[in-house]
Amino acid sequence: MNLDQLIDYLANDNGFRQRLSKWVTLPAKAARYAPFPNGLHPGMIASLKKKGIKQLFTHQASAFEAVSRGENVVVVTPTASGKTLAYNLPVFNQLMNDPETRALYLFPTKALSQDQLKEIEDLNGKLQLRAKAYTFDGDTPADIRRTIRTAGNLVVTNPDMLHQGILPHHTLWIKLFENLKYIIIDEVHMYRGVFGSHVANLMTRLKRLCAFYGSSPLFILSSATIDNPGELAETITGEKVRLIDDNGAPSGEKHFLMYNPPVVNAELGLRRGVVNEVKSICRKIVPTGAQIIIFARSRMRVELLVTYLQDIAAELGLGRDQIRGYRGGFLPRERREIEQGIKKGAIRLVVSTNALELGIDIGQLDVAILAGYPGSIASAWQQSGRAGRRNKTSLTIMVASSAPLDQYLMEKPAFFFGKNPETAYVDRENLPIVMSHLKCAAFELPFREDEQFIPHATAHLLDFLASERILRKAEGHYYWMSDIYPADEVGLRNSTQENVVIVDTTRQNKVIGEMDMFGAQEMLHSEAVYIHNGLPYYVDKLEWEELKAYVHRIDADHYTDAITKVDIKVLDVAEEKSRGRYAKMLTEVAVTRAVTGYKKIKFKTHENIGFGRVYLPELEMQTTALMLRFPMEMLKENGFKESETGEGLKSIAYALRHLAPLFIICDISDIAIFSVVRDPFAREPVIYIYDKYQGGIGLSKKLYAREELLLAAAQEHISSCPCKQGCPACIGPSLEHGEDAKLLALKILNSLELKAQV
Amino acid sequence: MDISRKLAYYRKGDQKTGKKVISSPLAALRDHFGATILYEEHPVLCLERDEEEEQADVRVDLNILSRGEFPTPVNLSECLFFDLETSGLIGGSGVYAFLIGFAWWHKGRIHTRRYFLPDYGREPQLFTELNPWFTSFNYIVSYNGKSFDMPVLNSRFLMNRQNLHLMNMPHIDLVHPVRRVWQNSFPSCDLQTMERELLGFHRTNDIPGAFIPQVYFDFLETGRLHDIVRVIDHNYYDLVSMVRLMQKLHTIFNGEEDSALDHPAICRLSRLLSGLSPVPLNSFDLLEKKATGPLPADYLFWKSMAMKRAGRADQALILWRELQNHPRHAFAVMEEIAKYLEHRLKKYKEALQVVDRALHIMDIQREFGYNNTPLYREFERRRRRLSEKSKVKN
Ligand SMILES: [Zn+2]
Repeated sequence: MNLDQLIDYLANDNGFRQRLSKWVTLPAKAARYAPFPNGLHPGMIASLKKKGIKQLFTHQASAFEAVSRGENVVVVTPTASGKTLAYNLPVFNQLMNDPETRALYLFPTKALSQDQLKEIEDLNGKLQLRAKAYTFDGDTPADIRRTIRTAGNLVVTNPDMLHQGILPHHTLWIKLFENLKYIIIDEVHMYRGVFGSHVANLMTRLKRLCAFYGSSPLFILSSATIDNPGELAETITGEKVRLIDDNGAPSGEKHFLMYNPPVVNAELGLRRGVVNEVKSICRKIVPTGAQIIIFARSRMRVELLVTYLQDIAAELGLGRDQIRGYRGGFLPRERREIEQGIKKGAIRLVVSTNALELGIDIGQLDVAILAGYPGSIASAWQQSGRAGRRNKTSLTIMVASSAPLDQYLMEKPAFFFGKNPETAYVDRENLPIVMSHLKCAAFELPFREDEQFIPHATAHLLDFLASERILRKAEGHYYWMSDIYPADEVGLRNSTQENVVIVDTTRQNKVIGEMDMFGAQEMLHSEAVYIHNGLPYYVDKLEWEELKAYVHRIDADHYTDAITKVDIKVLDVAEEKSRGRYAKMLTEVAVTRAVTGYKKIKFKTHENIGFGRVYLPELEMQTTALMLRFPMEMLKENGFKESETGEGLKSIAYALRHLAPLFIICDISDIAIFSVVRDPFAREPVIYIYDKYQGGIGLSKKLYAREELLLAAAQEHISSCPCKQGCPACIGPSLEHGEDAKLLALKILNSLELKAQV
Repeated sequence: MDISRKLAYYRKGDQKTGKKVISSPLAALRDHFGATILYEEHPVLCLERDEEEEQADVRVDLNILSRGEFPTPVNLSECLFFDLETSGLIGGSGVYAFLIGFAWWHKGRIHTRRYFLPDYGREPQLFTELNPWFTSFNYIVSYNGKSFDMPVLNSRFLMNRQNLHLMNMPHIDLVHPVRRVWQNSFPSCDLQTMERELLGFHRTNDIPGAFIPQVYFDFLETGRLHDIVRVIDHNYYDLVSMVRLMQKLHTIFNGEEDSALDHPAICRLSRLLSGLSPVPLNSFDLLEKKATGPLPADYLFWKSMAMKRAGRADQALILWRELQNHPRHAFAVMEEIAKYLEHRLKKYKEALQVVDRALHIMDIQREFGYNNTPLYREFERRRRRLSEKSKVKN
């Protein structure tokens, strides 16, 4: 059975069709070509022709032309659409004119940069250029490093290595900096949130050094489809960037199916689990001979799915080794072997984390199954892009979980297929992040008194560092005055906050997980019963100083629920606006949280069987928050009692938090929410939505501009949820709120008279 | 006129005369050391000091100790010794060399010149003047300078958009020959250990290297002299010890008997010699004069290997026979004996006896859990071959 037959077969399978909330067919798109641009070196054209490339796709040509005019560009491309040529064309063309040319390639991960090096070398060989391309990362041997520094035309690396290994030693890289013509940033949509903020600062450092050595390179970026690739590219590079989103590559017919597992408990709003559902879909599809890729959200999910599927391998007519998992934590050799296996077709079914979502070359497969919504529309399309050989039909099945976000999209598939509303937001000016990079920059090159690192505030920050005796002001410059190596003090990917590691004392002190400090206080305090992978553990001790929680497996009849005291203090109001029935404010806040005790709750019956005290230090965080204010008057008019207001707000808050990633690309754990009936600052009921990151990373700022859309989405989602009294898919698990919560939440939302249409 | 405008005017007048008031800590340092202050605009302190030397052997033969990197004897007067004190100990472009010390040999004295930079931003003029001066030397000598001092100084020059001439000069980093000789003699091969152990020099009131960056920062902020003076002295002793250490290296193979070498050093040297081509057999005689007590087995082993390489296996055989019962070398020399008997003397039976004995001992060792499988296999192969050969011969 080929893919077209499979699609016919699924279309006629009533049981299967019943589960679908949407079947979208995207028509095939023909290729659009452009002639070779004028500036292209004749030798280059000859080589391209010799390799069978007679003309360029439109986006490749316009990228080349824009770069030739001296513009920075960001090229928006789906997977497998000639992206590599698009960003390499200007580089190789320049190399033909000037063999001393240098270009720096940044890829978000080490695996990706090694994979892309192969592509660059391949192109290099095809064009018969003698340019030298190298990857430079933590694994590069010392003797090769010297060669790369002096002779590497194309240096392929990642932001972390640029940050710690290249910029602080720029004098060793003088050849690179003096001759740097292009900086290529691939998959720029990956640089968002904290990571993006770091990378934006890193680019400022890079440009500063280029200026010192007299070069002014152009930026060539690529991005997946998001709402604001141009804006993102400009924030990251700090330059004007031309957007090229007119993609000329052809694509085959695409079938995108939204699959919602059946409800198993309507009261609790529980659906069949994603893992089981994916298993039964595989039973249908594997026999057709289609090669399948399954994307799961976590490494653990990947392992689980692989085990389940291998168990039924014989039934599927596959060998166990034809079903493989792919995720971080594998050795490079293992990864390479799996990539080859997929490419050659030996592996029929691969289960992967988003590690394979990025451009690693595994060829194209027939069917992509998304085991749960991957968290952003951009990711979903990229994962879907793994299916479909060029010009051929492809099939994607997205299987929803019970999470609010998944269920919202099942209800409103139009939202998913419409214009992409997700914006990737980067806050260039997060203070803790700017500070760490300012230190690195001062280490790299003394600051001139009048120099700008970030607009307006540079001198203030430098003076502050001087008063802290980290810098010294002399001779009109700020000099680094410390014997530490500042790049070692900051990682680009982790927040400055540290994590608590979870140590299982019954398994030779094996580390079984990590948790942020806030979460650790609530779930890993001493005497807590902590559920990990569905198994209960008893926490013997939380060593706060060492950031370690020692646990052991137990058979418990209860779990614990922490009693947390949260306190939000408004420090400053940046913006505010009345919306008629409610008001919104963008605020700077100090959030203090402390776990003071816990309740013991019996499994099944959920009766409260005990109580304990916890002694842990308060945690404080300064961040930005969106504050939604619901005037008491308005609520009283609608006949709300104070206790009811609290219940309603708590339920709304749950929905808002889970639906926020529809409008900003972020993880649910990046934001936190807090509702209070008598807020000491506003003196009325409020909901706070704040960035769960020291200094804020701009998420709530972005939500401030879209709060009505978010509220409207919550209203619509809660009202159309099939549950009776609230469920995890809408306002939270039914045990955590009263019987009327869903009703109260809706009553409050309805009284807001929202005008926005999602 | 308010005070700030007054101040601005005051500063302007200052610049007009081209004179900058020299800060008192710098003047105090100058007076303490009897030094001179260079460059009025961005002052740098220049300190000079001589050290009388009795010993005056000025040609240093490093051929063996550098493993042929410096084949011809180095004339001491061609060497510029250098050592930095810096604001950081790891490296990177944020590390500032605030004390740049040089030493050279002049008319039987060690002459030192050190530049102390009393603040940041004092490099440009100094660097411009240093570069041409470097060309009057043919070698640059340091202690661990290849991995630290030279890259730091080069980085400083590049940060000032100047090229460091020293980068093109042959660089003798003394730490490498020193390690080749004394790595196993002392717990560490740092300069202070070497000067104590080899030169018998004990510093008083020395400042540990790890504290130096902070001392400089404190000086910048407070102008207090006490500790920075210790740093400047520290640099002086580093330079002087370096020159003496280089002479010390020369005495190893110069035939003089006054400087003894301990056993670990003798052993490392014999190993070094055995790997050179051509094998300098006469150097072993020179070494033996410096050894105290009976010669160690390691030494004899490497000497035997050197003899073998030099085509004197007949003499090596005598040493091998001696070493057969030495625990560390027994199997290696048995293998050598077997090879020699088999290939050179064609005495297969005798060779077989040696191999059998080796395997017998190894069998016993294996019972105690001591395994050397590759060597065991090698002996087994040899035994098979030898029994074939001895059969054929019979
Ligand atoms: Zn529900």
